[in-house]
Amino acid sequence: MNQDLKANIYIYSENYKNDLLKIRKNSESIKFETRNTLRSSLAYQRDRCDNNNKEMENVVDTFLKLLLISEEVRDHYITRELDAKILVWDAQEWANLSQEWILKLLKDFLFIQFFTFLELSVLLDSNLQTKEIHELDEKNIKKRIKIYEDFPKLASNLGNFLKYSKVNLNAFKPSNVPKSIINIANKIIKRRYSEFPERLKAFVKETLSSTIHEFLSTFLPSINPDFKAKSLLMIRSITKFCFSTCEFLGYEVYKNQAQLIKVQNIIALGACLEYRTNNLLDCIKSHKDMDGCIYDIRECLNLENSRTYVGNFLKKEQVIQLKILNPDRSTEEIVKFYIAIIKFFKNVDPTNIILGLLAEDIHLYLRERSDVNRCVVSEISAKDSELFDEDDGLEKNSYSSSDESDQEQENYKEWKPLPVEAKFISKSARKRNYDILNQLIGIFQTKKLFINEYQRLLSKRLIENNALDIFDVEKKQLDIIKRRFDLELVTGCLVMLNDISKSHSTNEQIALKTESILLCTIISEKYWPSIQSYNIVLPKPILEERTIYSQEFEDLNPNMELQWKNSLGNIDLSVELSDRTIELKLSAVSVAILYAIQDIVEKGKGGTKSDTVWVELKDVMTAIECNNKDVVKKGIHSLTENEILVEIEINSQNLVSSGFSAFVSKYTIAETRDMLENPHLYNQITERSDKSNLGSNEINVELKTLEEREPEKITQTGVYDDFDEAEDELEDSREDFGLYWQYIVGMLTNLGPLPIDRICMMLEMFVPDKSFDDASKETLKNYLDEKVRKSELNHTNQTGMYSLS
Amino acid sequence: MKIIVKSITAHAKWAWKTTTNDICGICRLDFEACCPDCLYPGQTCQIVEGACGHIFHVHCIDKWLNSENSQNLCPMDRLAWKKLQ
Repeated sequence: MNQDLKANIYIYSENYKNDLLKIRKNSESIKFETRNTLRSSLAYQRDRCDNNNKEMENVVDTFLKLLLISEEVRDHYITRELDAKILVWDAQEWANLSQEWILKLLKDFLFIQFFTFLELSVLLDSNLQTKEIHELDEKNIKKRIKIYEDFPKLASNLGNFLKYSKVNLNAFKPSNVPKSIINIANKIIKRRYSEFPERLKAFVKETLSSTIHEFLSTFLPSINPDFKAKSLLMIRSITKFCFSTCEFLGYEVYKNQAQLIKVQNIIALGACLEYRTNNLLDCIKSHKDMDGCIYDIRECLNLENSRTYVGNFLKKEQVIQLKILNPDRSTEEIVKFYIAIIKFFKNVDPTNIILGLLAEDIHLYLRERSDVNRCVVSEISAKDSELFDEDDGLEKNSYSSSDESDQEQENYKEWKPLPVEAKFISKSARKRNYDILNQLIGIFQTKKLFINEYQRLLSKRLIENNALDIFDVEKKQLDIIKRRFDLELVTGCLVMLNDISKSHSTNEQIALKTESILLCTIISEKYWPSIQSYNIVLPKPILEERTIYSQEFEDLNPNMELQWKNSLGNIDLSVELSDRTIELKLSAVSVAILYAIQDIVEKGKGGTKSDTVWVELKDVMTAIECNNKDVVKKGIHSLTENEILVEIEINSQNLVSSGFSAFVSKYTIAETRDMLENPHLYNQITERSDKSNLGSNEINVELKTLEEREPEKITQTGVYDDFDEAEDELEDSREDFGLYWQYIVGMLTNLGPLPIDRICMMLEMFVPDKSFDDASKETLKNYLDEKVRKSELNHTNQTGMYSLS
Repeated sequence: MKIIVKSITAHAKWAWKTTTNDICGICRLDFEACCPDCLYPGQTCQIVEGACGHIFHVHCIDKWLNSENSQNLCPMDRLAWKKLQ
């Protein structure tokens, strides 16, 4: 050995000689030094030979020898370092090497670093001659193999090499990767097969699968996403390769070639399944086939127990619980995800066993959510729902029952029994039809619950939309739902749709006779879930139309009468204002409000045309006889939104002397564009004429309105210059605290009785740039005392506390 | 401002023109609902008032009258059943 080494060393340049001798001595500190020397000399060699093949070969030669030495001294650190170095050469550099040298390279450390070899064989795929590999020195190989018992570690090393080396994997066709490896490996195996001693199968299996797993988890994430290799193919090849190597290493695996392939497959699939399952949820969530995930999983499910593995992984490992059935996810999100899960597994697993395993848990969880019914039904009946598209299959099944037997006989060859794992899910679950709709309906504890919810939403849709527009879609959906339920349960929905189609024909009949512009949806109320309708006074034109319609309806159906739902329905209008015409569709409530306001405005105007009459919310409510504030507000809102009405806010303090209560909104018809833009200008006139007896108040109104819209304007205009200074000052201070009155009331309500100091402190907190000196504190005190006199506040002299009366 | 109404969609429920608003004494369902044998309410399942003042679904009372032991009596008060015109 010594002789050998010396002979070797002699070949190396003088630079290395001493270092290598030192290595022999195996001292740690020297090793470190040696590494550095080796590293730098390698780099030096490489630089020198950049454009010269001959030199390149020298480098490889040196490199090989260095490797041998590092092997001798058992310094794996160096080995790896060198491998990494050589791997940073790009494909072109490798191609420059002559065949002879490649073989030399392979011969010497193919099995020192068999994964390196893997990589090399990929790179050299095109010009590798397999017959030459046979001539490898077998003894040499066998000796070196022993070093590497630790496959998984190596695999992750390889993954890292690939990651950090600049080798461009994408330049190679994916199919070449496995092929070249296998070709080489198989050739070797065939020759060496008989010589292997017996070893444990379990060990091989275990080592291999963990090797593959390690490899995948380090290697796969580093691949460029464009690299579209089906990972399963890759895993399979790698397994094959591992097996080959294993045998070469001296672990006999299986004598029978067919069995060998089977076992290889199983391990490959197992490793792939494990890898894929870990990322399954992300794949489902993204609705995308990530790196052929769907393909992989579908293939993997051919494995025995794979379904239970996937199912239990998702179930027992709490994956679903942690990631999906999570309190901070909205029910809608969960339902959507559940649909994605159903879609995915239906696609992947036609036996539905995985779904059967998962469904129960998800259903149980969802049932605990109060809004699940609403979410599920709205998901089912969403306009763009795809859930109904897939129903054709079901239809075929249910209708072709007569010739089912024929079909069965034809297909008997293709029939496969359910996998053994089917025993893990209940019998009823096995028979269930696992389409998405069925699964979603399964979330409901009873079908009745589902139908109730469905009916409620259906009625909402039919009333809110133009029922005829959505009629066909709804009818189709209901037909599908009908097939899954007893007729009794869907009666309500059927009657509702029937009402719609009947109303349509009634409308047509009546329109023919009277040219009525009213289209009525006549409902059988007993079958519709409660419909909210408010009693409001509708304007005359609409009432007239109604009377005509009612008359006609009663002519058609002598024993029936119509009872109108006043607040429902829409009206197409054209509104002619002084400078523009608006065409729009409004709800009945809005129209009633519009007419009511028009009425009030006309009346209020009297003779003088120039004044604008502003109408308050409560006036509107009296006019249309509706006492539901929200409904009226909503109606008004759609009018202001369409720029028919214009709104201003007035601090009612100025109008009602009693107190500083909230702002009051007032509305009027926006006859001109100008009114829309500067509503307060029109308001000013009204207020002045209304309150002409209160000079100061009048101006306050103006100020308030200005202040709300354009605060900077006040300082510019300075309207209140010509008022009595003294009165103004008092008025001003009172006004000042008037703004804070709401704060003070809130304070006293929430915190109970407070002394003046505390009130000041709180105000300083609430109001930016406000600080209380003694003088202003005094003014506040005066202001509060005034409130006490008006008995809006209580003041106890003993404690100095103010409280609400 | 001038408002021109162009078209109206409205909702109304239909009801039988009856003096009492009760349930059918035979099937115990609302008049405005249909009898148990029908699917759709409305003109296809009308109601009928007898001279005795009781109102039933037509289908319900016909069924009763066709049964042997009815003897053409109103099922409620056992007076002779006569349809009110």
